[in-house]
Amino acid sequence: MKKIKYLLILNLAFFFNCQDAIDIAQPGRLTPDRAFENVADLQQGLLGVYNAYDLTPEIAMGAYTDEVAVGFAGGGQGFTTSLAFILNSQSAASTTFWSNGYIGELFSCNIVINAALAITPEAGEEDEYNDILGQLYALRAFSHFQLLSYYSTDYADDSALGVPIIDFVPGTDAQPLRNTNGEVFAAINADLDRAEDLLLDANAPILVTKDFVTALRARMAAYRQNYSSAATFAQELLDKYPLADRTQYTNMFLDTDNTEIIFKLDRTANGPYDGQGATGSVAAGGGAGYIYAFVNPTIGGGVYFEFSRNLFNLFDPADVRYDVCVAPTSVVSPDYQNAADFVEEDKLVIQKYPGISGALLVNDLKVFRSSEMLLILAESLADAGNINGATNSTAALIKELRDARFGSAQPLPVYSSQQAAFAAILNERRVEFAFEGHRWKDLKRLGVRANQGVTRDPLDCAFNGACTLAPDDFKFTLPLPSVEFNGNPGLRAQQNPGY
Amino acid sequence: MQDIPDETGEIIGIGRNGGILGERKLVRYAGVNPANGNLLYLDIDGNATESPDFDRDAVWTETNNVPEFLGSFGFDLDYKNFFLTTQFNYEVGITRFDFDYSNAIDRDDIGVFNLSQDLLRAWTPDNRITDIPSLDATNLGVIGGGASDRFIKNSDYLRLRFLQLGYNVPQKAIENSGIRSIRIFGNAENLFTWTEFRGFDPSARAGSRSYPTARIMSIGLEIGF
Repeated sequence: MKKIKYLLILNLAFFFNCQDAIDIAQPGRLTPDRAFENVADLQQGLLGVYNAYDLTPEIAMGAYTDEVAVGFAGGGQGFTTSLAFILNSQSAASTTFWSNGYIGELFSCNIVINAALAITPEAGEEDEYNDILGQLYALRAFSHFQLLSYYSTDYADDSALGVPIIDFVPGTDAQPLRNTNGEVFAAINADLDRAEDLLLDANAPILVTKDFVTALRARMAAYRQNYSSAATFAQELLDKYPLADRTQYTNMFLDTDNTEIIFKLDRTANGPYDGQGATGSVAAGGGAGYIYAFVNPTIGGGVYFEFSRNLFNLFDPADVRYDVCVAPTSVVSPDYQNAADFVEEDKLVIQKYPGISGALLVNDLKVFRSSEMLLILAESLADAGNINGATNSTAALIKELRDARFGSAQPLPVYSSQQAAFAAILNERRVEFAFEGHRWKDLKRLGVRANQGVTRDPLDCAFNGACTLAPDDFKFTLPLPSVEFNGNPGLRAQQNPGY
Repeated sequence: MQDIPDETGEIIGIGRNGGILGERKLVRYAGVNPANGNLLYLDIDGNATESPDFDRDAVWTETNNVPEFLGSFGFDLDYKNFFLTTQFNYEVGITRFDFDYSNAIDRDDIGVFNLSQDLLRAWTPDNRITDIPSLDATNLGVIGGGASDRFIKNSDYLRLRFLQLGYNVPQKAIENSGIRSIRIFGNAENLFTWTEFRGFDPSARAGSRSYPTARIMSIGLEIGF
């Protein structure tokens, strides 16, 4: 009997020893507390977090709308996805925004935030430390907002399902479910409040400043149709950032002018985004110009997506935006509807992202510009019913924008109804933000009020018959990706309607 | 597997509790719809559908990309001064995605790349019973290439991995020449592969566009002093 007792004790000893054998802390392991030991380390971490932010999937999402059409040098890009409106829980669109948002952005954001909170800055470093934390909170807010904008059914409904709030570093066993929009907006606002208290406003517009926070608040309020606060935020920024004149506007897209830019993502030659991403896919990545062409933004540059014809029809050659967006080598058919060969006689090359020195098709990605603030203001006036008149009206603001873009006084528009005013705002946004990733969300949130959905030119969609998408279609909300259900089966019951 | 991530004990990409490692969960492909040339799949209940949903309709297929058997054999033959050495490799009981073939019949690449003549028998109203969907099929993108078993193909193969045929010059002929031996031979590597698989290489592990195992022919002369 006694022996058995000893054997039992021996067994227990082995049992505990086994733990050591499987939980090995390798000497080379880099844990957050070792990676981030001081403010200089945090600064490096912050730049790493910035590197996770990319707008190219958002820009590529334009192919699901009436922004692009089959290019004359294409090889079927988008035929079985965006151009056919095919969206499901395995689509690149569904997976990309989710994984970029949660893995690329929020996970790294939270790691650095956690590391920062564990560090006490040395004397003299407090401001820099606060600024780093402020930027991280603001970026975390931005990520949640972006995720919500793709996966929520209705931005204006606080009780609709939003996305899971991830304001911590999730372990492998985390299985978060969706929060309501109201909860997500509250988390975003809490992060923005924290950020506003901490930010230093250094290195605008390529690093986050208080103006970034205000711009995000303005956009968010407009999405939620809280137009009175949207107008306040937008006006505040509009007073600070004037509209660019024609030269400044042209230079803005060559990345040599920042007059109008509140925040942009910096892209450099030989940087991590210098190169071709996934062509014809929402996964995108790389330089933004590669979303439309393989080689360069000219007629010989392997153009696989070109202007959709009815977007091009909205552009006036006297408008500086025409010069910025349309490559001079384009071939514009004078009578495209009767062209014998529409594809070959009407080649509308997109050059909004011509590239910078040493990096073709790679340009800074403009996130917030003052023209967006002006159009948010126009939206809030339309919402209030102030659509016509020479001052303080939607019409007056549209005129103000057009005056700047044309370089001469333009006629004051007159709208017959609120619906017409919203349609005019949508059309102006289509031109102003062409190929900047706004169109899909604009239709989702304003399409019904403007009675406008995706409408492709019959010649553009003749090849597959996918010509229209009503603004209340379920495809204006992305499906949750099925790959997420693998690790988080509870989410399956919260899939968006229609999928 | 029982605990992660939930009680169903399955993780797409890894497998399911009790199943084979790396078992594929896929939507079953059923062929071309004679009525309109679209792709037909089976839903979870086995009914034909043109609009399957991966999340709802995928089933465990009991296939993975590990062969049941693989091995090698060879024989040597000597006759007078001639000699023959061979080595054969084989894999049996393996299926793989044939993305090379799927690329070769991708209608979106017509006019851009060289493609398979199989496209010539694509569905048309006059050719309704076929294995190639209509060039205007509207549901090609509903299920991604790697999410259905449409391109899961048998990739069993038998390959003549190595063949050597040679001749030893008789000692008599080189007596008193100061040379101890002369051997003349030819080698062939990967000369023949017998397989139903239509992609570039049934033994390649990559999904597609991998450079196939090279066929190498060489001749040799060996002189011993």
